[in-house]
Amino acid sequence: MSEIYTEDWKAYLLLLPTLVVSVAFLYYPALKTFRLALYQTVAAGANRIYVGLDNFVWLLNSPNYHYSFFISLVFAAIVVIGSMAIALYLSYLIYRVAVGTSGYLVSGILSYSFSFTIVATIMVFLLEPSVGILTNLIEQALGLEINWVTNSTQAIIVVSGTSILKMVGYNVIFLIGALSSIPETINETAKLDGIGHFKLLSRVYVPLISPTLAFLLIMNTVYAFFLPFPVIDVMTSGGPGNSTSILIYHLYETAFSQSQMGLAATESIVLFVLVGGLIVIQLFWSDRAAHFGGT
Amino acid sequence: MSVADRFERGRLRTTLKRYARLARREWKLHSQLILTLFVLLVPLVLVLLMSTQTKTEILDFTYIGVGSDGLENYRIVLQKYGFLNYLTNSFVMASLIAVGKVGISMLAALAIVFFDFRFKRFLFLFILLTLTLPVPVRIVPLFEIMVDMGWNDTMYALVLPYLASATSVLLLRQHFLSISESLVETARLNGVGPLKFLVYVLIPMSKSMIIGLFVIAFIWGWNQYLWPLVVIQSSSQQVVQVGLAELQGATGGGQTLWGLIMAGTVLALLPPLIILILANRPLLETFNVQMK
Amino acid sequence: MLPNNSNTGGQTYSRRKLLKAGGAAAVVGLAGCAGDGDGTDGTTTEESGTTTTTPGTVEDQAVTISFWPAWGGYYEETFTEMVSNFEDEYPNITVDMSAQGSYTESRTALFNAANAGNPPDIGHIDKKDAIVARDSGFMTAVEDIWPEVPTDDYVGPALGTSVIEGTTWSIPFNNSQIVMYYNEDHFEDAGLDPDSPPNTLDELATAANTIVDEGVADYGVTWPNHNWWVHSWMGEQEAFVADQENGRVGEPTEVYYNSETSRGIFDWWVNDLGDAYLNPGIKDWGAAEQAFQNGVSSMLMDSSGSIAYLLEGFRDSGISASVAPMPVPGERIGHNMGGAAVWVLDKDRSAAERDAVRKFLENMTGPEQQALYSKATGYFPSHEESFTLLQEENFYEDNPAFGVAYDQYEAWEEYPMNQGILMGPSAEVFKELERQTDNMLGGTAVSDATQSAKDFGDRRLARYVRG
Repeated sequence: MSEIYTEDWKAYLLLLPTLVVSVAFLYYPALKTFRLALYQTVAAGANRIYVGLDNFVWLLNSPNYHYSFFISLVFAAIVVIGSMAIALYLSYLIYRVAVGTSGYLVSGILSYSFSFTIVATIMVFLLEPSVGILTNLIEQALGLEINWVTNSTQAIIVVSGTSILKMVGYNVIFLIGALSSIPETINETAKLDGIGHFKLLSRVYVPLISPTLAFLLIMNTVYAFFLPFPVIDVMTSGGPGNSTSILIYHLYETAFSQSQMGLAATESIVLFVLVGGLIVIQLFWSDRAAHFGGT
Repeated sequence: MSVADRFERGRLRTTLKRYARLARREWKLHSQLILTLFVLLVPLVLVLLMSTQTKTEILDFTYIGVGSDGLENYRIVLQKYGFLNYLTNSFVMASLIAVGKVGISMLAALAIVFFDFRFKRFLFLFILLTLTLPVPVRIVPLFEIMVDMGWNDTMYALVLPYLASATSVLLLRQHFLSISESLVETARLNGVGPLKFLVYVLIPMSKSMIIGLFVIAFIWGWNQYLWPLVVIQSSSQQVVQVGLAELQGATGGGQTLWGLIMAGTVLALLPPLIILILANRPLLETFNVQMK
Repeated sequence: MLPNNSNTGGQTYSRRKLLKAGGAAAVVGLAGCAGDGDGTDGTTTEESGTTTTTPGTVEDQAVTISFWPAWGGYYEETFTEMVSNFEDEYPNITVDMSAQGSYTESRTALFNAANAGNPPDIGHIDKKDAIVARDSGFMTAVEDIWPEVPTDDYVGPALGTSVIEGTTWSIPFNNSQIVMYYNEDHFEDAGLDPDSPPNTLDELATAANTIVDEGVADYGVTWPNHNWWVHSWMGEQEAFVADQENGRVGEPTEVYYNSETSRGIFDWWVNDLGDAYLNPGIKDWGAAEQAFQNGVSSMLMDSSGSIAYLLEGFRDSGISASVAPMPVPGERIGHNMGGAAVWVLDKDRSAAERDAVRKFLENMTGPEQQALYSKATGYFPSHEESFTLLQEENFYEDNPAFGVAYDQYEAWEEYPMNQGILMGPSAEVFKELERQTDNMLGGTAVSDATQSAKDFGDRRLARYVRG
């Protein structure tokens, strides 16, 4: 029993900073969002008109928004699967190698320190249609013309690929953690049995680390919905057309290019339902919620 | 040379030889590792190289080597394009967020783990559920609140919304719970107050995790883009991520100055990178990674 | 590949810089003013809009006003010079200037500041945002703070978006038209006559395709995917973009992007011009300019407001380029003016401050300052007299590039279709057009895409709420 202190007021005091910030900057704005969604604004909120559920109706009937929703799902799927697959592969290699493990590990997690903006800037340059080094290499190697500014499919690939590069580091950290907690006995047994790497990975390790995989699956999906915003802003501005305009980018444009705060609040609610829903699932799936408050 | 010295040097050589033999045996792993890491990290290397090139050298995209401009691009970007200012702002923002986040989360975890009080379960859940509210979900009214308070375009707006962290509280809670029972009992028996307990017992026992959380929070703060983009208007207050995006509009006579942009990129990525490398142990430990 | 959303004027050195120390918005309140005028010091008290000041103590008060122009870099230097000239003329007035970035960023910053109760005195707003500016409730009409504003002295083609339903809301500040640059060497190599550049869209398509076919360059022509082009080509064919005469006689309810004229333009663009056109991206002036500078495209259409700095770039890159008027579908009647206008924001001001704002407007949009601005950038001056000044110094003869733009401007005839488009949700509706253009260039059928653009526009107009 770790609860050695009993004065309520001291506990409240200790919790106060966290609670104040949470209420002021998290819960209160969230509540405001719900209210704001019922209004239409002119010029950044100066004049507000109550329109009830009009904003929702607009979104329901907007082909642009439908597409944005759809492409966000596609984008999230590509990024999640891509970054987790690469991270799993890399983590397994790092886990198995005996010489230089820490060097490889640090190299593998480097992308955790990059921001999406940085990765996007680098790729914008390397894939620049006229002066990009990678552009040249790819065009020579595949005979394909690089024009992701005008070609939607290429744009989506470029944007997803860039995001995957960045997410790998985060996943490697968790996967190595999970792999390193596998008992040595299993490894020894496997070596004795002479199981091949792939079978070992898929039949033995993956099931063993499945809680971590599940966690990463959810977190990656959640992140994929809004963290890659800089990638879109820096590389394609939602284009060509609106082919890379994922939900968070669409929201940003509605709020800050068009100053339609009410409609943007409505879009925030959609995002909230998606993201919040996923996180709530994650919370209840894991043990954390079961142990809240207790020892 | 003494016998001891010769013995030491011999040991070193045999150790190296052993490693080399081991590495050769697992050559397949090494080659795959090197290949994968190369593909993932070659953009970084290229950027470092290109940042030293001149305009014309960059236009020749087959030229991949150290350029002749050296550090000139860095100087220009720092002085003429305000990067020194951006970097300072980012540093202040990330540091304040890191210190603040870890600090108040420690206090909260202290309360949750070592106190018995009314509404404990509710308050813990209250904090936990903030996880469902990442910045993009509350960005619109949060922005309006900042404008109303007159805090838009200031460091307050950049730091305050990031100070609460349910994840830090959770991680610290887990760690505090693992502190040995006997230590806790001893503290209780000796009537040690909660703050003293925190400072003299908990913190020393959580050094690694505190560093890890600090690094996580610093990197997170440093890498923010959307919120600074929205809430900061003057470039004197802007952070390096947005500054980098804006730098991409830099042109000289109608040509984009990629060398400059790459120099800016390197400047923007170095601090978190260095911190990550230096503190990778504590960071990994915070995430429960046990090295073999 | 420049990823930005600049509206006109192309990319420049740095988008935003706080020029004088301290936030511009905060300073105004600290101006050393003696408070509201009352009858005793020779000024009349302001109750509502109109005040006249009699010369006297107001002029001697030290006053600070703030001005938030869009852009930075190249244009900022010119603004700085102009402001400096103004301050020399009126030593008691200090101007705090803070460049805000693209037109979108500038407008957003302006509205946010106004929302927070801290707006600058004078803002700089894209012509296409005129209605939103008016409806925001943040603006004081220029004629309310400057009753004697000489509206007729300002260039006619630009007034369509400054004078709304008879009220002078703003004063045009930078005015531009579309011009075309072409690489003379490429023309020669392709067997085209560098002295007679294409004048019609058909000629443009032919020339562009010839260049590509002869292998002289990758692309024949490029220009940013921007609504200005489509709207101009519709206007040149005497076609309206929206009802209510482009929104000038009443609030518009529909757009005509699916009209025969519009579809014809896109048909030409996608089929006749086809692959000879390089799509640099929506509103991406920088990428288009870069392609031309690198010889990737032999022709470039751009704003006349970029003439000055592009010429500089040509010197640096050694391109031998000439300027021609914008190619037109058929007959040439003149097209919409691009650019922006200066607006006055609504706030409590002392008599001295109001006086300072008036003087600022009069001086900065006056003949000499506008002539200076025009020479430095390529934008047309806002004041009619500036043209006289420029001609007196033979400016257009000595600078043929500017001369071509000027001739095109002179040939502008007043029609209801080329005086600007007034609608509230212009930003979104025009952006949708640009998006659909991308789709058409990517293969979507012209009839489908133009219909989508129209549907979106109509729905958006129906939803627009005046404040």
